[in-house]
Amino acid sequence: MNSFLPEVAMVTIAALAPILAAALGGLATEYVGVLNIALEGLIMAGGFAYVAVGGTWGPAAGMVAAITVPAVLALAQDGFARKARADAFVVGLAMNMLIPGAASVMSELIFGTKGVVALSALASGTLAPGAVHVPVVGPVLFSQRWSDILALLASAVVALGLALTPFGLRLRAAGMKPESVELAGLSPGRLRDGAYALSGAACGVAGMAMAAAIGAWVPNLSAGRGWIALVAIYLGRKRLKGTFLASLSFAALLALATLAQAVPSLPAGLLGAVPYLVTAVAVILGSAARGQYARKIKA
Amino acid sequence: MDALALVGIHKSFPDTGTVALSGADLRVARGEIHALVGENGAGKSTLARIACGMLAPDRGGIEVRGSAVAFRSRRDAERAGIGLVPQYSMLAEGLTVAQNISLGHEPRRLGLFYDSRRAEYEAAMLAQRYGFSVPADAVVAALGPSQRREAEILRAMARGADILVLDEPTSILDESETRTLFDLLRRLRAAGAAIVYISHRAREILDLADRVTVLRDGVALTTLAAGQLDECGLAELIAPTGACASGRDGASAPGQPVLQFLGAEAGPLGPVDLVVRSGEIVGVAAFAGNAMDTLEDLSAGVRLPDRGTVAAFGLSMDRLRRRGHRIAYIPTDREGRGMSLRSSLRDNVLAGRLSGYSPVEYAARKTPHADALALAKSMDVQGHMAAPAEALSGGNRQRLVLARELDKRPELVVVANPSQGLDPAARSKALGAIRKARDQGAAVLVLSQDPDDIRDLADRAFVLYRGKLKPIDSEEAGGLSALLTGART
Repeated sequence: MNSFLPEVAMVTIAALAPILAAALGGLATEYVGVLNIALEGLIMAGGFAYVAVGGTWGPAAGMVAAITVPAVLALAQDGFARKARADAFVVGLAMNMLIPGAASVMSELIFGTKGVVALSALASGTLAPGAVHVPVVGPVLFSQRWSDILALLASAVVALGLALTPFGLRLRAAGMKPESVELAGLSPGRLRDGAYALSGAACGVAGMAMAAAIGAWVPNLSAGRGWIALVAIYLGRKRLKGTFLASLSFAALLALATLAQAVPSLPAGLLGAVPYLVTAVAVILGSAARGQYARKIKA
Repeated sequence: MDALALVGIHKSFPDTGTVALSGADLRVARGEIHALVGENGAGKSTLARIACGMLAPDRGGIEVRGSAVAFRSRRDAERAGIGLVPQYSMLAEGLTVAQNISLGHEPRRLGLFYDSRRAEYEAAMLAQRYGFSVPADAVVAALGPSQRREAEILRAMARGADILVLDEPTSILDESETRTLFDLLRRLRAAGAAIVYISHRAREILDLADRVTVLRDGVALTTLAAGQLDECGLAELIAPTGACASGRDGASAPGQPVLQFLGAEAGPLGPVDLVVRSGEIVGVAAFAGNAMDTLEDLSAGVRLPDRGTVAAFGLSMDRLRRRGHRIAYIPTDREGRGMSLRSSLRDNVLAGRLSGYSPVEYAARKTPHADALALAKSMDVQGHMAAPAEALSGGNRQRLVLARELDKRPELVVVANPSQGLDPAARSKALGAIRKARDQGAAVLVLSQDPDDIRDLADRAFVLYRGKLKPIDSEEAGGLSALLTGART
């Protein structure tokens, strides 16, 4: 029991890395008023780019690709939606369907398989393997993977950018009243592009972290993290702090489900489904609570 | 040399099929206040947006201080020193005043982070310089209309603009705020600024402007020195319909009490005792923004009094079943409360009648469409039935709300700032419609920051001063505005 809490903390932090990165990237698009629904697909694009490029040129090149490829995809997604005046929601859904298919085709072309591509060279090492036995800090921090720490750092950068920079301010202004930024001599469309590129890059980092955690590309790598991130934004009331807390809660749930699978008497399959069930229940309760709140305000 | 010259400007909007400008000219000199007048839909706002680089003309030239320019964006116009105070709020509601003002030119710390303290300091200094009361650190959503307008003006001035375009800046200001604004504009003029002032209000224009350019159907009809004009002549130029022959007529025959305030208190307001009977128009002239807003909210049942009661048809506002009565409400916040900008003109104008159609009738669309056309025509709303209400000019929006609300013989009419955004011809038509409602037995409460509205409409009049109502003689036409300004000091 002594090692239980640090272990939960450790697994929670690892689970938090991809969810938080994706959620904060999504929040940037929520700021401009057009939530990017394609987080799930973009995470996959990041993970696949990491493995596909990293497999030939090494993990560092893989990371660069994992950030740039989804960023460019998201930019193209928004560019198309704006130019064609298409519904951003529908275009985002299409991205979520296109990316796994495209990844599968390219996986066949590059690696000759549509299934798992395991490349041990791409698996991330831990921060300080020698220091793992230091009490508390050892398991909680030093045994974390490099890739997860990078994803958390990237999340911190995105959070700072949204909360404290002129860019974040402009995104919010563009979302509240596009004319306010237009009158300030800025382009609401460009800001929306910027938010989308940021969401793509952040999701790419999340995908990289997930692929590096297992040192492999697997179909459905993202395993619903993008959807969980969307729910975290929603439950976090579209605010930075709320989104962080919601992401942390989901990460803790995922961690508990993972750890509980080690208990032989519990059904592993059911436990794996628990975070997703909780997500669904949270959405329903969350929207019900909001409905009540709205009614109260009206009355 | 002109500070700003717009020559032969053409602009049409293919989306809605409207031609806004067909060869309009405007020349504004340094140290001049130049009024741009015209009917609703004459193209004033379009010309303003083009002058400020927010809209590209289809054809025509723009010159700033004698050299030809082509604005590719708002930023180009901003660099050329052109500031805009838009007709509708272009402030981001959830941000502070300072954030809105600094947007696009944010002060930074370490070259990276937004320096909110400096932004607030700069905004506060700016406000102080122009004698404005708007707090720099306040969130816009928490401000009243006049402070929002102040923030809007500060934003336009923040980049040191020396060519300033104001699009109906006084439409939501009271007398005293208007005078403050005029003083400011005169000071700017003395400092050499060129000011384009768009307005409907003849008296205001004659008071303030050096020259007047009249826009009609997208072309500049004429430019005259303001000294050559009187109120009537100017109104005739804007819309040649004998519009200046407006005024009070008809008589009231008060009946049953319909709307009652009994010791009602809420926020800055009260206690207020007031009875509005069927068949009469009660006018309340207001100066301070806040208490006027509160009085409007109470009258419309949007807010309940903290103490005392507000009742309509003998029921307190929270018990009142609105469906059972014909209540018309024409709000100050036209875009927020009075209409849905994203819905079509047709849906907006029909919103009050929808329950009257059978599903089959509604689906067939023929009857509703014909009704919408007739309703829009009753108030001369100009625009495409299927286009979103967003595309309508301010005056047309006001007409739309008036047409919808005064439809179907209302029993109670609560109307705030009825003539906001209306040209003289449309104003007299709107006032006529309100009088007609009274003559058909409605109890009418008019709240207005424009003393002329109260003078022209009210059978009984009050002035709202420091949250309390004082009865005044509405017949005393000229005295009202003196009373308003006198009561303030």
